[in-house]
Amino acid sequence: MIVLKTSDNETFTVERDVAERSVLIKNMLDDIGENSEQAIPLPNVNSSVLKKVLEYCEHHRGEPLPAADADTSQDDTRKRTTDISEWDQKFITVDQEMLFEIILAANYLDIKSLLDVGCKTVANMIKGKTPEEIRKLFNIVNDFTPEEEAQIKKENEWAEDR
Amino acid sequence: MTKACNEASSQPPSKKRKAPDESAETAETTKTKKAGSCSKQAGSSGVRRTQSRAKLSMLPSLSLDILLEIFSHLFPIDLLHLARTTKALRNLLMRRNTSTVWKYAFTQIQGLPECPSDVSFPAWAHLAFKPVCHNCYTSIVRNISWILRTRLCSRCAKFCLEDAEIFDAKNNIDKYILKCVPFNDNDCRSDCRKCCLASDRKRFVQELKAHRKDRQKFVEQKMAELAARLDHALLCEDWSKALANERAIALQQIKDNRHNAISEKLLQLGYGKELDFLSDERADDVKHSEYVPFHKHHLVRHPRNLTDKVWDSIKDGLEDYMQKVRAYIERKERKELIWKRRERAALAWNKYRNVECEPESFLPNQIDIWVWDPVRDIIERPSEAEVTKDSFEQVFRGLPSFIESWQRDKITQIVHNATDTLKWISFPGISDLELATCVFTCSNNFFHSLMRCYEDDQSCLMWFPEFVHHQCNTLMQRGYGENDEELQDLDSCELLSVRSETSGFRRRQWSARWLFFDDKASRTVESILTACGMSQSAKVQQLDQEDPRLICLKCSFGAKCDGERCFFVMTWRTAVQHNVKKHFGDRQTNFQRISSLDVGGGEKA
Repeated sequence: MIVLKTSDNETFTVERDVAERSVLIKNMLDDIGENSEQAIPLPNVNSSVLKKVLEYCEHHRGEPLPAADADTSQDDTRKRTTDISEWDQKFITVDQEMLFEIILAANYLDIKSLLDVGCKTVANMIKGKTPEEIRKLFNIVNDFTPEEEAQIKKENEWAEDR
Repeated sequence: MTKACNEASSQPPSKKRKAPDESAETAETTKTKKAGSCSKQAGSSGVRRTQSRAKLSMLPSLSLDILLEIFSHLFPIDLLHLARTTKALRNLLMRRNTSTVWKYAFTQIQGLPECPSDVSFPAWAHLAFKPVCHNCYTSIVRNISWILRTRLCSRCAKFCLEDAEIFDAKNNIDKYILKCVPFNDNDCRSDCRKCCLASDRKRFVQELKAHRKDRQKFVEQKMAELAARLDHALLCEDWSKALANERAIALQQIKDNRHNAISEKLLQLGYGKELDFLSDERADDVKHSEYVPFHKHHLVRHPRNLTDKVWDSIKDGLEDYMQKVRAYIERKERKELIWKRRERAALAWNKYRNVECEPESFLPNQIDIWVWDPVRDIIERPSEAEVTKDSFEQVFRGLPSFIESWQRDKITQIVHNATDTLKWISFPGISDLELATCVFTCSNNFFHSLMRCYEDDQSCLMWFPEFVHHQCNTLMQRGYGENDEELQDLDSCELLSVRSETSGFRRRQWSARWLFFDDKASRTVESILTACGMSQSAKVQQLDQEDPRLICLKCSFGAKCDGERCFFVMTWRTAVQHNVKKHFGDRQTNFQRISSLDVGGGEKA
């Protein structure tokens, strides 16, 4: 069993194969050796997010991990589709705050498949929306003046060519 | 998995993958916490809750590798839209160093030819996927001119395009314009003439002037570029058409799926018969005003898949529609049954008439029989009751008295017509219809011309019994519109056809609505009777038996037949026609009856 310590000082005891879904944790475990009972600190992840991440790892335990030097063409195929499995879809149906935290945590912990699910979810939210709809959805402030906004519709050249 | 609190902390572990920028993260966490507390405060407001949950406002500040990971799942149009959301994202996406992301997004568009080397990825996405006019940026324009690489609304096309005809092929500059500038058949304008973009032409002319020394080389290069552009445009056209076709098929598929799913739901609700009926109507392309066809119903043809939620929202509307169709079918079936029964009644009546009645009798036709109460009662029995020819034959025992009262009723109708026409004279009664002075005319000259029953120089003048049997009393043109009959939908009834008599006409319920008493003709007859020394109450039959020969004294200016002059000798009916036509029914016209001896030498008219 592995002990993980979150930024808010909560500890989670998990089985090794669940924790090792994270490449970061796997590498750390390789570094500190098998018999260490020391808690692994995860200062960039809080307890609520880690709980969610571990739920994901638990569900996907035993599935083959993507190789570190994954074939580019395979990677292409993975990216081309924004389909998300039913369980993952249910898992990722969280508010935007948690979604954002999961993406950051997946990136930090190096859980490629979870990062993929998070990014696909955000991409799906963006798809087919107008700039105004995207701003509204993500609560992004429009920092263009009306004149600038009218102008950018006409400017489709690279910034370097303008 | 177990969870426990621990206050100890330690150093962050080493990372193989790039972690988000720490300072940015701190800022993000702070923002998150603030937003979190805001969420608690705004718990009672739905709108504020939605805003507080929208925490991806930090999207633009996410680390680049995460952003690129997200962007890699987007289509070019989504990248274009993202580049128009904030300055930070625009700054990121509109630089050449993100061209890999763009290129990647384009690879997800199946079949779209590669972005030309002289066009930026964002501009290519703008052309291919943003259906907006490239001049005014407001009008929606779906058609793309791939050769001109633009979309123009019809209003902007007027001043953004230049007609090929304005260029003179003999002019030194124009000939190069015609060779090197892209031209397209302009489908933005109705004339569809070849046009180029004024901006393309201006740019080319400027470049041409700059290449004075190596003009030939420059022109050759431009021509080669144009040829490649044309080839590329053709590929784009093909893609565009295939895409439009694909979309149309997909849309139709969605519509078909919805149609089938709704049909299935309605079938479960017990509307199977109605659905079959609507399907048959669709096959026969039936159009009527009772309801719109099922496949054209706005709730059915809406291009959206049928979910349980959607079904719940449209169910009531569709059930109302199906009830309307059900009621229509019931009415239609009842009407068909009624017509079948009428057909049986007509067969029974024809059989009765042929056996029981004199051929020249004044008799009702099948419509008059259908509206006779005992027959009507049988016809209108409930649908489940059986009605055969025998059912009618049983009540036909009462026909003799019905025919008698019917005849009386119709004759009275004629007398009423005469009385209504001549309010200033007293018209005696039914028995006087046989008087020679009782002359009727029919006002339906339109029908007469269609039926060709009178010569051009003939007026429609009728004596007893001709006016009783006059064709207009029993026939009418189908679809004539002036329906004063008790039954509806007679126009479509084949049973009432009278093809042997006049095509386009059908039998009608007997009516004397077009018969009018002809006062002028009546007075002419009075004059004739006086000339013949006969009583004014002489009947038609008596005058016919007498068969006098007459000459018109108005034509001879009062001179009588003296054996010296030529006269036009007429029968009494011709004399009436003569006075009505030639002297406009003059009441002062006198006639002279000539002797049978004089007739021998005369020409009988």
